[in-house]
Amino acid sequence: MKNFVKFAVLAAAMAAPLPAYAVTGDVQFDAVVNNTCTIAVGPAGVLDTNVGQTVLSSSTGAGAAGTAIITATSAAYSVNVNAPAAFTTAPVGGGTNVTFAANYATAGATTLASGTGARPLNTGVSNVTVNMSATKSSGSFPTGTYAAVVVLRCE
Amino acid sequence: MSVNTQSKFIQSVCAAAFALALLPFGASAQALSPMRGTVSSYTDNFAVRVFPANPYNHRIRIEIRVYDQDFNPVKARVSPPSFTLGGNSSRPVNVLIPFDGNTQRKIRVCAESIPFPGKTSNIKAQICGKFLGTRVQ
Repeated sequence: MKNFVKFAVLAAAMAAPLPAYAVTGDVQFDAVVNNTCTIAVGPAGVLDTNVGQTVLSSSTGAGAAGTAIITATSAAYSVNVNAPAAFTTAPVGGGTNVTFAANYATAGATTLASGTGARPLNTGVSNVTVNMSATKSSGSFPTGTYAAVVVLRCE
Repeated sequence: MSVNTQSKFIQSVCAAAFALALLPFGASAQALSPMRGTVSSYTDNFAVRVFPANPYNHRIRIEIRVYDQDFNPVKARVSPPSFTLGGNSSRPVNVLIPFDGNTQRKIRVCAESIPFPGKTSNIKAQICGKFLGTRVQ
């Protein structure tokens, strides 16, 4: 009986619930944020001719500039445009003796007057207006459909 | 019209509608990161990994081109050189550039939008990251 009581006490002690300890664990999150530049091209520009049909320009008559939005996450970037080297679409004779020019202006985070060449961008969203012209040094532009592409660069 | 012909007609209409839904919009947007980087290499080439991104909801077509400081094309292995990117997504592109006997080489890796056929967008977006490769002797 004496042993039974001892065993009973020991068993009761072992069966008693242990205190619950709180356990913590670290959940790690990593990220690398790189600076980036985004260009969103808007509606296409429109070219119109002058009276003598020697100039096709987005600044003439019913012409309209092309637009784009540049989002820069760093002030280390610059914006620039490249004038087209040739028409991508033109009637026969339309692309000969033609000189191309392009310029751009920005508003918003970066305010730049109309000009050419690489110019620095500020951090943020800048609205870009791109104009282009094609000038025929001899003769006039024949009737037909014309198209050209200006490269807008963020670098 | 027989039931069979009617069924084929409905199938073709559905297929056409599905194809139209997949057509891209005219405007395109693209991003590139990183925009700057320096790479050291023990070999005759150095590698750059860039992540072109499409931050908008419609898919766009992107081409990756490599230029030197004067915008002359550089013979580099680009994988993949052009691809279609779904909305709100980006993908890695690996570029392997040879030193061509130089100890240093400055290059531009440019993501260029490819206008879809039939669209008359007259602005081509070009985003260029500048990278410097140094050959460790």
